[in-house]
Amino acid sequence: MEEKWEPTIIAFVCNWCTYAGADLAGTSRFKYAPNVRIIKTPCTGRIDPMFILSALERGADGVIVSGCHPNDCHYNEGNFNARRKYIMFRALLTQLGVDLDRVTFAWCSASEGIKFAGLVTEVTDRIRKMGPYTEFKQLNQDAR
Amino acid sequence: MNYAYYPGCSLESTSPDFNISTEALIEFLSLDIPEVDDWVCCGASSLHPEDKLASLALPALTIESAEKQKRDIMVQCPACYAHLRESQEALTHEGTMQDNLKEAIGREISAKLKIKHFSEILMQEIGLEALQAKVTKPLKDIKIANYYGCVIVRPQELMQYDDPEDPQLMDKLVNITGAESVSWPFKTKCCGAGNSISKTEVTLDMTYQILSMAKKNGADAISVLCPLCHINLDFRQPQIERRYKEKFNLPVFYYTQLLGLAFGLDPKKLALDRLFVSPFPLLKSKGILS
Amino acid sequence: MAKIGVFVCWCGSNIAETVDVKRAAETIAKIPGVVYSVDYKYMCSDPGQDMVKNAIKEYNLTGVVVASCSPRMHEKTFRKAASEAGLNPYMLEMANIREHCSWVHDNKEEATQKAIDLIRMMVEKVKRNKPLQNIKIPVTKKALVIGGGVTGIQAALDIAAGGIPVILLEREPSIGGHMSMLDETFPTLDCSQCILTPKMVEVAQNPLVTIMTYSELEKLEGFIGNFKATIKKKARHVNVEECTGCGTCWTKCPTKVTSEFEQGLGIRKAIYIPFPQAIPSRPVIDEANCMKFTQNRCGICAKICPKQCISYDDKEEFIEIEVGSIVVATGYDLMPTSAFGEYGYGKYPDVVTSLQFERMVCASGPTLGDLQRPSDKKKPKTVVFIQCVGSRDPEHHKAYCSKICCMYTAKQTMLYRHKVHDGNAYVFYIDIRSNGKNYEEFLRRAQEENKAQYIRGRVSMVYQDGPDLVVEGADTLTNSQVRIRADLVVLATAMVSPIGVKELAQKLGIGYDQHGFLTEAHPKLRPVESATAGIFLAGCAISPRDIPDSVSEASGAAAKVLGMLSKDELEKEGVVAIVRECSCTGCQNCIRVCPFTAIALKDIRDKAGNLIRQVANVNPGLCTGCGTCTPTCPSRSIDLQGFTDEEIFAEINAMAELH
Repeated sequence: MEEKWEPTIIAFVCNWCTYAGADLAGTSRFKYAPNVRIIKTPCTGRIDPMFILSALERGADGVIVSGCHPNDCHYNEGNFNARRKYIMFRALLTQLGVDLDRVTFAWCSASEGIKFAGLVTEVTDRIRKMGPYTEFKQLNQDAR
Repeated sequence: MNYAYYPGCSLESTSPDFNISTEALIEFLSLDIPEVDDWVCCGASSLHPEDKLASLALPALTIESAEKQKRDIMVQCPACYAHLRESQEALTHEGTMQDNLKEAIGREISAKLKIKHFSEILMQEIGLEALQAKVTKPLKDIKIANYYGCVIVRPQELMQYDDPEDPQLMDKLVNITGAESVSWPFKTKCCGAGNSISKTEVTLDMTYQILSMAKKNGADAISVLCPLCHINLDFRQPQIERRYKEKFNLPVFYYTQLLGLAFGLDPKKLALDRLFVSPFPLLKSKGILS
Repeated sequence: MAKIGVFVCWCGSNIAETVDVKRAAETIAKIPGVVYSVDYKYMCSDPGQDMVKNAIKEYNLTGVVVASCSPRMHEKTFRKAASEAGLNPYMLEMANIREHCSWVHDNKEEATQKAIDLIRMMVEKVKRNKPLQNIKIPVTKKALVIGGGVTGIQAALDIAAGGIPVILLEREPSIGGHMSMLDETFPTLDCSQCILTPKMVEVAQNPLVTIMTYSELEKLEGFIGNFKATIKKKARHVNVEECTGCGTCWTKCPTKVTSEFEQGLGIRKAIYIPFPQAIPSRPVIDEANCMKFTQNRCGICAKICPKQCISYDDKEEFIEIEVGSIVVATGYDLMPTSAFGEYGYGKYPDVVTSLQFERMVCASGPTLGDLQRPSDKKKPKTVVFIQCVGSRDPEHHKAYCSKICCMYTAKQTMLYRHKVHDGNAYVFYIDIRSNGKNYEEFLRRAQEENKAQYIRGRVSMVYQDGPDLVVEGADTLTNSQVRIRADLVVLATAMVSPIGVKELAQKLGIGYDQHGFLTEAHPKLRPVESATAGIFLAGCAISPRDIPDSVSEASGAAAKVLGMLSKDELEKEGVVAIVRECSCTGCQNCIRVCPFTAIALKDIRDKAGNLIRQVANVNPGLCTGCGTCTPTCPSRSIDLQGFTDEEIFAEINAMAELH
């Protein structure tokens, strides 16, 4: 049976801004694509690049990383650490042959429910056009 | 120092006295500053509000030409200076305007040359001491109000000429001639500029204030570096005197003319006879010319 | 073996309309380790909570997932219920299937599938959760207030009123701050010193308050409840205990210095008290100007002091104090006026700042309240006030509004008219902001009774014309140019953060914005707290505000301090980082990124006491649980409890297995 393929997106978000922004999208009933699964961390600084690789390996077709805007970090500077890490990580992803369009980094505050909804829909549409991400999954299966 | 001179249309047409005295200084100081080959209008006046791209593309052509000559650009008219700088900014910063400009010109251009006002070149590349050494006829007992006008100092980020409220560059140049630069508040006040033609009364009022303030602060004459300021202060001075029933009799020199006088150049070579308010009675009364 | 209970909430129709809650509960029941899975109409209701409690007991649950609303709503509720049933509260997690699912999707099939995924992820996480204990921290019942202006004074008084000892720190020789320089205050026109000096005396006489003037914070260590501050006491050269403040020294001192308190309009001596009501009313020697220090001569003050209180050999001292909580009330400065060439400040003596104007009209000022302009002592017949000098000017200076200038300018026009009844006061403004109690009425009085003439527009330049100043500007209401001949021009310059605040904030480990104003933990809901636990903020240190707001915040911060120090022990969440010492290499990556300096090196010694190696060590009192340290560890030796690598990877894996 050939089902219509739908992308799976994993979003790693910080507790204080983006998670609350997603809550606001909910209380405001802003509709967005149902493809996203949110994983909460205290701060974008907690988000290990390995989480992103692991998500891609385990079946995600796209990843969102989102937290407080610069200077809004609940922990003062966790998001700056995240940004620095992510800049390095992009280079690594390119080297691994991962299309950078699969990993989206975006700031989203607790008051930006509408931005969060738009972000998810936009990323979902983009990943849907790109098709399923199979390279890492394949590696994973081969290894087994 | 490797400059090419961009006179622009004002110095070629309405203000030949500025051009002539500039050429005289270049010759006297034995500077190697030929004109920019095939220079064109700087895009000033009517063009820039009408068509931004065209107004930046015109100076880009001149920049490209100087680049081919492998020379930096020396300029006298502040409006030309501003437009050349603006065009250079657009050419050297990535963006839509840069793309559009390159397409409009259709030639490769880096625009990484220097664009300098002649007064800056005198000050920074020749130096006050070297100039001072060439003074043979000090302009003793003359008090000068240095009037910079508004364009040369604004916007400061673009022009990077001098302090926009109280510039000192021309004051220092004029001081080496032996004349005394007076301290006065209207150095960079607007002269009325282009309103000269469309709303003459506005210009007359503004110019009247500038002349009054110069006189009040004890000036015998005014020194300028902008051809349009010169027209408003010099050419319109008799009209202002009639309108406000007040005699000024303030000769309005280009700073190049004052420097030339102090270097002992022939007044004719400095086009002093072309000024509307004759400077000769003043210069004679101070014993500078006989 | 994990025994997980799952409770899927309908939230009435809020969830159940879009998510097939029955199917969700049934699907989840099939996950290995899930021993109980039900759906119920309102999980947060008492019967709902009882279901959780009973199931924990009945099935000996090791973990619980409540699938309902956002954890921001009810995580506390359910964790409390769990702990009442004997389960460690950190073994309960919530799957957010309302805000993140039913409310944002329409298609029931897709929403149900998503809800199942979200619950499955949480089940996998909770299987790996470890019981955590809240952390108890002992408390030093003593507070430090930094800044001795009206804000700091009020905070110190309120904290002392709660029975807690306070140290009030001030870097100038006297407390009092800017308010002591003001003449009268809006909107009541009561005399600033008349209302401030009683407070200064009160704080000085309060047995619970220790005032340390001419002193600065040098270093801060420790954490909430347990701070250790090092205070630098600058050399005063006067024995404060012995001195009686008789004034012989400063009367005889031959060196005249421009007075900071008089804003450059008056003179003080090299040994001085800044103003007559200063507290402490003990002088200080200004080393930069005293001849004894600059040329090693004079020495008159030491010779004539009747009690031999003066010692030129005094050196600065460092004092260590222990406090449980800190209030930062460092106030403001006015923007340096050298930036405003167009207004001729510094060039024309009759262009003054608003604070200088306060001194010029103040009865205790250099002219004893007789208004004279600086250049020729003439009584000014026309005064032009320029507002927003440096404020609301993003192109050149500060983008923000300094908030108080509209009101004090209105006040200054009144003070001026009270001195010069037939005088003309003009005010150039952009907008008028008079949004406080009785402010608008006050402004109308300035305009109507005192005939202040308001001109909406900016000033392009101020220049000298003979003895007069000429102010040129635009009137944007009549679209005309304005030219006013004035005797005096007063600039309402922007309020900026004072010099040294950024360095202070770095010592304290609290945030500040691009302007140097301190950052609140939340601008609306936690306005007097910094993001660092135990450190509170008040007054203009946060952003420009007026006296009533500053004083309210001082009391607010004091209430926070008292609340905190009312307990013998503090409790905080157990979500903190932990180091696995056996694999830590001591590379210090975690120490470098920790925003709260909560990690330090710890020595590992053998039995003989020899140092073997050093490892990272987390101070749970300081750790806020952000987890920034965790991904930086090359040997994965530091982990964040409550959000461990294992737990998060489990969530990722749970998600993947379905697709």
